[in-house]
Amino acid sequence: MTGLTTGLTTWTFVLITVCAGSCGDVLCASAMSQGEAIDDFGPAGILRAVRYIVTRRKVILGGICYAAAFFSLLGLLSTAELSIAVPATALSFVLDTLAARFILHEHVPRKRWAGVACVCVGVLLAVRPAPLPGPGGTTRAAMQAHQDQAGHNESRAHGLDDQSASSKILAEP
Amino acid sequence: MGSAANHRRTGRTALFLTIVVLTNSFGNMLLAMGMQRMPDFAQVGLQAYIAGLLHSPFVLPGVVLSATSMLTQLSLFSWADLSFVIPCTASSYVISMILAEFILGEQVHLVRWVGVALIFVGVLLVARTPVATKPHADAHAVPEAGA
Repeated sequence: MTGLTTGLTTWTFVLITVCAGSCGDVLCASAMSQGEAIDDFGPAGILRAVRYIVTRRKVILGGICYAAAFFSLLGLLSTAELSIAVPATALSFVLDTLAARFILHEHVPRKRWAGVACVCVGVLLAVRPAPLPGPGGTTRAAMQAHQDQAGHNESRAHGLDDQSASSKILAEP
Repeated sequence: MGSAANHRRTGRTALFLTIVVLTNSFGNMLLAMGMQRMPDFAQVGLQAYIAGLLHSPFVLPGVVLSATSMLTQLSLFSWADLSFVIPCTASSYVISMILAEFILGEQVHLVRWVGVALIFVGVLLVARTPVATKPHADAHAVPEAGA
């Protein structure tokens, strides 16, 4: 597993997660805003809401998109660190806001655009894949790079074993 | 719709957003912990892999939390804008980062913390806009009888 292959796999998963997730959001929001607002959280109200949700074709389609995004996210979580992989999916905020404005015709106030811009810049900083080595400590990325280099000529399976073993150690509370 | 109903709607929006964010963050963390402990798919085969997923103490609870998050978000969509709900759920990244640092033991770097701070500011800005900007179907409905 070279760094490049890992990076490509990760970003392919990010792309699928983001696009499928946004499609799901738009379909579900469209279906739910067409019905009455869910206001009654007693047993009868919840039953009615569930019946409404499961009979909407758009919600079902949205659910399929969410499922695609979910399995893509599972793939993403198995290839990268949580602190990189999860914020990377936040690219969907741009896509969602544009879709809300131009497909769902929501009137997005200026303050909301500013908020989305802040979220996006925040995400760009939060997803930086190669953290600078911290003072007096080896970062996990650096350890991983070292490992990749050391296991370069060994079998792929062995490299994966190493990786999952190190993940286990690092994940232990 | 009286202002009492609007006020209740605002409180409920905040409550539901909190549920979405917390279930999403903890769901993601459990899924990550579960997936990191899974054997290599190519080595064990499909059946053993699925059995592994079902027996993992992290994967199923992670799925349940994610499903709760999704259903809560669907209810939110019935009265709030997509462009309001989605940026507000970005606060789950703040919580994910804190979980990654303190529970998963991943090293979260200073630049990423700055990013997280910006996300937080962005969410605060969005939260100060009206929950809904276009008339929803219930705007024309008879006001519900006070419970």
